[in-house]
Amino acid sequence: MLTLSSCTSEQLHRSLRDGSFRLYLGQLALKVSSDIPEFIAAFRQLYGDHPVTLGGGEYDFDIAISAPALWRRWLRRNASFEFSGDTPFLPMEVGHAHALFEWGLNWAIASFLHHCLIIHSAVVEWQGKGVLLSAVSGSGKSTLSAELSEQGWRLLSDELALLDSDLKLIPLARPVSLKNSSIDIIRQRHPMAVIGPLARDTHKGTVAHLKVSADAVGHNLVPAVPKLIVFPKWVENAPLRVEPVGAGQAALRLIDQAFNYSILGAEGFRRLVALVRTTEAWQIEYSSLDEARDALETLVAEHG
Amino acid sequence: MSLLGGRGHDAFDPEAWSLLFSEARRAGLLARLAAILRLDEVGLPERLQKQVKASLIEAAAFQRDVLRELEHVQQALQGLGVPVLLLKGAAYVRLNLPAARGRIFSDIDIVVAKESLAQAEASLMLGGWLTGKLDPYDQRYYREWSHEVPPMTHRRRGTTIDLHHALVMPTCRIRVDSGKMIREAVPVDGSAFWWRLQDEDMVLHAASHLMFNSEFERGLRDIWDIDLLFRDFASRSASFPERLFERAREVGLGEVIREALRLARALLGTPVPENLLPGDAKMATRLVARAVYSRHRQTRPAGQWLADMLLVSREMYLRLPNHLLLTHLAHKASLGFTGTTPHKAI
Repeated sequence: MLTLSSCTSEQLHRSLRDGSFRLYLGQLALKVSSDIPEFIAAFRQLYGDHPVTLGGGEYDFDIAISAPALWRRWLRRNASFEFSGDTPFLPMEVGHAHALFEWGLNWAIASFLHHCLIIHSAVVEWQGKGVLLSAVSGSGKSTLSAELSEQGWRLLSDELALLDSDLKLIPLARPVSLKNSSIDIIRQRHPMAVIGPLARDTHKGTVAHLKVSADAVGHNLVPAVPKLIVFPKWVENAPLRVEPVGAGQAALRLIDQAFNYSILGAEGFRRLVALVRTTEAWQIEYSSLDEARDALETLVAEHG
Repeated sequence: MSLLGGRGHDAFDPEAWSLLFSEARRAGLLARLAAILRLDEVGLPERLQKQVKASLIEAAAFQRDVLRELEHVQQALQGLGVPVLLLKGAAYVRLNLPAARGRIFSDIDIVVAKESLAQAEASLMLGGWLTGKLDPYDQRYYREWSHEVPPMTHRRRGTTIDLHHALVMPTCRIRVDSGKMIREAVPVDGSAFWWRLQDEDMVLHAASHLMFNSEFERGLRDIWDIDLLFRDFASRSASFPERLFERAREVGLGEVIREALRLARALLGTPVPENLLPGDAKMATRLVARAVYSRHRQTRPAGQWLADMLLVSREMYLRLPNHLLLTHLAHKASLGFTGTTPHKAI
């Protein structure tokens, strides 16, 4: 299949303008439209390995990154996230358009894909075993999943675990969102990593996106079987601590992090119970990414 | 089905379906479309099937939540010993009408007699529903000129109740005997607590909601509600259409129901007999048709923004007497006139 980086600039611009562009994110097909050069440049860099088509066809989400209505255009150039022609969020400056796309896409997935139970969690895979890394914002989940992905783990998602009715994890490999100091940490540890433009002074501070490996993108249609649930927490200078978590406790913590648990009703409960019954749950506290990775690889080997 | 322009399902290619779903999502009608056209059974491609399934799951959740919320409201208000009238979506769900199918909403509209309003508000507050912060102007607008107290939101569940004491604005320029509609309400089967409008009045209320409100984003849904209610009641009693027009004359909504049904007939093929309702829609109704039509960039009609503006002006004119209209517009203008208020953070 055609990848984004193999399209010519002219093809890409035309297709993003005339509504014929489709981006394939695993099972999801996105119709993406844009005429904002800053967005298109970052999009090309970060999604280069993703499959695309330029001939129209069916899609799940209809997304446009576009210049906002005239009356919002003064002072600086802005970009809007349009979903089905609606603008659910305030516009942001054009330099943040690629971050707006990622946030908007997260919102769309969490708001509409109710055939899956959607949990706020990173998903990675090691030696064929799926691992949920579930944590509240600010506990280093994205940094840890970026590190694992750079060390050869397969990344399925840095933000959203999608659990389907067969209890499989649906992959959504796409750029990993790094915030503030974690941008430099990943850059220093992995000088070859491709990191997109910095979006400074957003409501989450400075944000940049790590391009995921072509291998992770290439496996985007292969679901993973969940084997471990890990609640990671980064604590400055803390010694490594690895502790088991009971199934009931794990279920309660996942409910807390689920976006559509109540929408799924009894089915949500059933799916969550099945998940914690077929996996083991652990929590780890760490200050060193190397130690955390070692601990996770041991957990997968011994308990996955 | 006239919704698909008289064509069958196979007349749409997958991209056309995707566009239809995108428009429907924009209008909050994907689940309604899925439920009414039974899209889970017509053999759509897998990608579209998943979207249908997800939308039906969401709609089922809304209905479950509404039924549960009604139990909480009943607990809070039962002690007052006054009848509580259910309106719109909550009534459709409680009565299990076809108009409830795939309807995405969460606000619950209820009516109590004006003299019980303060007590009902106090009981709901004890039950955990609180009025959000309003500026003093909005507070006064609601209390003095509107037919409801400000929306009350539950502090834990986040659900919203609109507590009314009448059906339409008391200051409206059209004389509507909404008191009669409320007085002649009937108990909901098997409940000693909930009341509902008569069949005819449910349609009339939906029609007045459509014609007096400037929520065009929801306009298509309102028309569809009217269509589903009409079809359902007419299928149960052949004399329903005649009784509906008779009732409309009685309460002063003759013109409103004719225009609303002309719209529904034009857009959704609502089976209103030609002898009861001859002719085409008037100018104002054609504007409504334009405003409620697809708002999607790819398919919206030309001049929709103009229709929106004309209708907002018309609605304000119909709602408020001149001196209030001027004060209201001046106040809103000082805040800056914006159509929608998007969220700040994601």
